[in-house]
Amino acid sequence: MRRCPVVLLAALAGCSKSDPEPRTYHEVTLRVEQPALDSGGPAAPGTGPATPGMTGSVPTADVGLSWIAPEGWEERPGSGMRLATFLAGGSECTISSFPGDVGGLRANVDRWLGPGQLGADTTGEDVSNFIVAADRFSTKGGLSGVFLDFTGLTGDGKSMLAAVLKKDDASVFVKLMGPREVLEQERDKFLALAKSLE
Amino acid sequence: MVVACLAMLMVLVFWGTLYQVRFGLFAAQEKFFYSWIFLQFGWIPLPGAQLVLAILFVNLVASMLFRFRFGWRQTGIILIHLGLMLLLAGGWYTHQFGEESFLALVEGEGSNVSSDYRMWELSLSKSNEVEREITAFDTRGTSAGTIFRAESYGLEIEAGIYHSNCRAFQGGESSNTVNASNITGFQPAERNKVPEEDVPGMICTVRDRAGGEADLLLFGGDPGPTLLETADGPVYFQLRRKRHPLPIFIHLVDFDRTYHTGSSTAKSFESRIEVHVGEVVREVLVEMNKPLRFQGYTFFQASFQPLESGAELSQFAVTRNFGRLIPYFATGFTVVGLAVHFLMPMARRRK
Repeated sequence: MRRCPVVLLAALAGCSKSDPEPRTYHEVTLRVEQPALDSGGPAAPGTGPATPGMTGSVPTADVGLSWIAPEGWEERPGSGMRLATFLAGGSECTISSFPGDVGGLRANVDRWLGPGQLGADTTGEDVSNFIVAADRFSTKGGLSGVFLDFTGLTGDGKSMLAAVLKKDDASVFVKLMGPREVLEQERDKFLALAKSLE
Repeated sequence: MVVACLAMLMVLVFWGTLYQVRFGLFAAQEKFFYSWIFLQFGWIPLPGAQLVLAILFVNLVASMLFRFRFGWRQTGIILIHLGLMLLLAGGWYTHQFGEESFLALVEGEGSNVSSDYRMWELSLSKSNEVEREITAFDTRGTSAGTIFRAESYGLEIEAGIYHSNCRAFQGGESSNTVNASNITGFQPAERNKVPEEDVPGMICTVRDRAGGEADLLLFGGDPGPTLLETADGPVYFQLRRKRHPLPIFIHLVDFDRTYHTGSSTAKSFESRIEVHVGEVVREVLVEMNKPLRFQGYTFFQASFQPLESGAELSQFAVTRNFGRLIPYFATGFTVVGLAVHFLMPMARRRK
């Protein structure tokens, strides 16, 4: 019986975690070069590509813009098409730019309201009225923009504030997506950030 | 015993439903349904669904073996029991051997591997071409000191830091690690309620056979692999979702969607794909509720995402379950058993 602890220790040693074993496979993945997604960051299944080989060059987002970060918002550097990311009340606000008009304002609003994003149950007429009623503004640098407050179209859950601006031949998007309460709380700071662009 | 088991299952479903509201579906499944024993309220040990179902199965077998008097009159009861046993066995088989993954393709793209929802791998390859050989290690259970030995590459990779979920940063104080996206550091983050949203990060030391050494920083959100020159040539490293090789190459030709008139609610979405099996190519339309089935794999149209570039990304849920027909057989046995059990006495009475 005295040998029991020794045997037990030996058994435990035998059960200790071993190094991971490699597995090999043949992969064929054909990728089409895409600009970085507006959503940025890692893609979760169901929301993004999570692609293995998006090795294409990422177009630069540098369109010569500057801004003033609102007080209390934590700014993080951008990459790819994303110029900057801010943490605002636990939600993420992004500034991104894309060449051209990216389909135009209506197409972008439709897409944001669509099932992949806000999933709002709206009619075409609702969207038209929403765009017509949206506030127009000018930034510190003289850029003209449209401010879109989606909280009026979505339910009590996730919603979005967006500002769409033109800078030369590029479209600039400022977006804050998160719970309705956060958006209401951060609305003024969001507008201040959008208006500070120059 | 059967009544007690069924009552316990009802309780588990009730608790699981409440639990998933706060902690998410995955956590509820792990705690109540994939466990043998769990601690309720933090200290009361109770049987999980696995244990309850195992007891139910053993009880069914035992009752058949020791309590039944086999004969024509018991045909119905025996069939019902066989059906239930088959249903339980099928559930166990699917849970143990079924695979669930996804394949996300932009129009024009193609692949012969799908990605796991939750598991990650450290992948190594000698090229970054369209077609390449991959050596991969599952990162489940990785911690500081875990060694990955890639002998065909002449490399030993030792994990220094591994976080199952973290946030990465660029800029700031430059570190001595190599990273493809110029990430200089990361911070651990709390695991998400939905584990699919976790993004791991790892700092590891790579040693080659010539004694060379380099520190790599790999982040699950890196858009591409990190290249390192080793004694045996260039090697591409990537921390990415675990890949599942498929028996076919799928090429997304076109994705199409239609909406209900006057609203942005999707009416249907469908993907036109080319399926390559060796040299044979055939075109298939995968629609909502009309999946592609091939050699035990099923490809469902799961979701889509319009990209800023104007192209569309289509995502397929990929399941591999050789036991998918078992529930149909089990239900068939049970229905026939019930019919026999209730109709036989009626027939005898008429005689």
